Amino acid sequence: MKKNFIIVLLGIGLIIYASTIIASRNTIYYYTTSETENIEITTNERIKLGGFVVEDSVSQEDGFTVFTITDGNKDIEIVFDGFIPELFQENMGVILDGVLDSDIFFADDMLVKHDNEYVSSDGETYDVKSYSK
Amino acid sequence: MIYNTGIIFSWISFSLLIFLFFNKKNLYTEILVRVNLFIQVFLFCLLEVGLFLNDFSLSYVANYSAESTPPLYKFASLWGSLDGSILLWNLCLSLFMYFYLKLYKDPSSNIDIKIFTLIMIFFVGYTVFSSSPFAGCIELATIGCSASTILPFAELVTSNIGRGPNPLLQNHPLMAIHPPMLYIGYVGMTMPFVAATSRLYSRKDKSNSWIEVAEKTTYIPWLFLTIGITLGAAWSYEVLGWGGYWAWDPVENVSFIPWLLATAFLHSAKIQKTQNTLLNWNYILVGLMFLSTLFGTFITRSGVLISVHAFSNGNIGTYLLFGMLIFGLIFIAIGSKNIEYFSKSKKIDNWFGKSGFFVFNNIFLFSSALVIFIGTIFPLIYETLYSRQITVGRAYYDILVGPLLLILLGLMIFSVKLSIRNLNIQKWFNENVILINIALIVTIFTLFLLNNSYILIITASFSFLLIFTTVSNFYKSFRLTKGSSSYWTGQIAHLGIGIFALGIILNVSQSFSTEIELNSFQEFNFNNDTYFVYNTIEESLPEKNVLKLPISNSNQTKYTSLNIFKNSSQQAISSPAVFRSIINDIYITVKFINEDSYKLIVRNNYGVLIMWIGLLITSLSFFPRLRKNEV
Repeated sequence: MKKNFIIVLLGIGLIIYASTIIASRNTIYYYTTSETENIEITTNERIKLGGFVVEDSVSQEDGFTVFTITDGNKDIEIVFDGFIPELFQENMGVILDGVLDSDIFFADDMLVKHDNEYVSSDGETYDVKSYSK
Repeated sequence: MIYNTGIIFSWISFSLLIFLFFNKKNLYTEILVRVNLFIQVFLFCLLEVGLFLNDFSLSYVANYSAESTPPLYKFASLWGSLDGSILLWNLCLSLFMYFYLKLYKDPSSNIDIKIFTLIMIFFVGYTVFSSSPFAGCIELATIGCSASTILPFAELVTSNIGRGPNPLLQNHPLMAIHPPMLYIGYVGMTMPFVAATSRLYSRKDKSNSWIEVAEKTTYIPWLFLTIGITLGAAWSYEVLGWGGYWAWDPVENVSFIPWLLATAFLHSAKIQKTQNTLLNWNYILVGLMFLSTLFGTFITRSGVLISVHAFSNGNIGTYLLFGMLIFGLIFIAIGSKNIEYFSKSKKIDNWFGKSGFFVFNNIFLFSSALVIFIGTIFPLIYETLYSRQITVGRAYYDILVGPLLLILLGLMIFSVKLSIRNLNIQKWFNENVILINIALIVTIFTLFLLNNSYILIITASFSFLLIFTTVSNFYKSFRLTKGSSSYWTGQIAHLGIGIFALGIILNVSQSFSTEIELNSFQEFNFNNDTYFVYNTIEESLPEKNVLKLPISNSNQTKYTSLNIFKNSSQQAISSPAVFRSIINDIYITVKFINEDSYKLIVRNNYGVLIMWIGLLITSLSFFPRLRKNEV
């Protein structure tokens, strides 16, 4: 009984350890919009940028989707040339992959954070400013 | 009117449950449970009436419904957001409580109803004290309502128009039924929890009755979870232009964790019933199943997914954590009371016999659940520790969960005929030599047609062998063994999983996609077929404008479309045109439309129909249970 218990605990420990190692090797890091001011980025270096889509900022221009994202302190304009995920909506958290060039971020890949609240775009479920530090 | 009635009846329901909890006379139990069910049905209907009458003095109706919303989606708006879905949750919970009372009640004590009542009090309490779908609007926003009250008899303001449900919810009827299926699955996990804790609390006969009831009551929620997860996958593939069906998204993960745990329990309960092993393990599984549903609701509803810091904004998160703590403590307390009983658990004799296989099955299912759990909470922990936001990449799940599920697929092959004694692998080979050879030949044959990899070869041969062994077993002995319905339930489920695994490996290893730019009335070639693109057709419905683009190949014409919802300034939602065949789908979505030039994404998706067929078969596994009237 005791022996089994120790084996089970060891097994679980092993899984947790292995998962954590593998998870930390497969994380996708991203910068917040404010952080772009402090980092040194060489031209054409691809980075990931995360933030919340600003309300009423989404438009279509020459086949690109143009919008602004924010972390509450700094806004960055995004020119997006890629497939817009269907969950994409205003106020939603997105992570973009692309190149930052003089305050405009040219992105071609987007991850959205799947939120389970079904509110319309002008819904109020969360407030961007309240959880940026 | 609806506002006052709704709030007052929520209070009545709450007080009634409190009374039921402290009530000592068994006499009233059944009446009270019935009245409670009746009130919950009434509250559900009442909110539906509010939605259909466009009663915008209700904050919920003003924010999640609109006059132009079509009837089906008005109906579905009830579970479109948190407050309303808790109402549906309560309705399901009272239904399950009623059925539990009728079918599975412990005749010797009343504890099970008390624990059930406590869980109900917890959820009804949320609508009474924290936020109710019947809350009245006291302050208007530009559209909809910005502040509300949950106290009755307040002076209300009425919005002229409603916001309408999220466009995603309105896009397809599947979205209307997918959440309730998952809710029924989630809520149903309460039953095994109640059965196990109550029977072990008051166990006088030292029998195994708790495991029998817990197993029976797990199957129904398991079935609904299976259907709910399948519908969710189907919805994201068939309706949204994702092209994908599963993204290892936290919201998907937390519905998969209870499924894995319940699957593990359905197996290990079986050997406890016959061999009296794994008593303590089964008890732990039952508890984790229930807590994982609370955890799932916590993850999806508390806002932690957006950021750990969003957590403090909502109160449902804290409430659910509190609930997990309370029920977790009850679970541990009752468990530790029975340590002596658990220590009577027999040892596993034969590691390569029936019980051994079931233990391996449990190890791999539980490990998968644990791995997915860690992947889901890893970003939360990371953000808390380092104040940096991260997400866990898909590779994590591919590396860890993929192999675990592959091993499970391999184990299933042996499930056809397991005896208590150790498996004689030599004998097994001799008995199945024909099937093994056929499976290998079919696998080799498919390899000539496809791009291959080791994973494909292993998975395909496992799936073929599983499918062949199960089918031949059906053919040989289905009629002979009338009695064992749960055995055949398992076999059907395994057959479905075998077919599903074949579909998924085809999909993962063979699919490819390309992007095409062209104008109206032009054609393009893809995968040995020619597709002709017409001009867009505009269609105006009360709730949305649809831009349809007809595309035809040699046999048929399909539409890919962009849906632009009124009342909402967000991106259009695109629906795919799918040219389907059993082996592969040609899946076309429009990326954008500019006058009469289009950018299309064309995918060649393999095996999707095979996957749906497999999951359908797994969902139909309840048929043998009907045969014996064994619910």
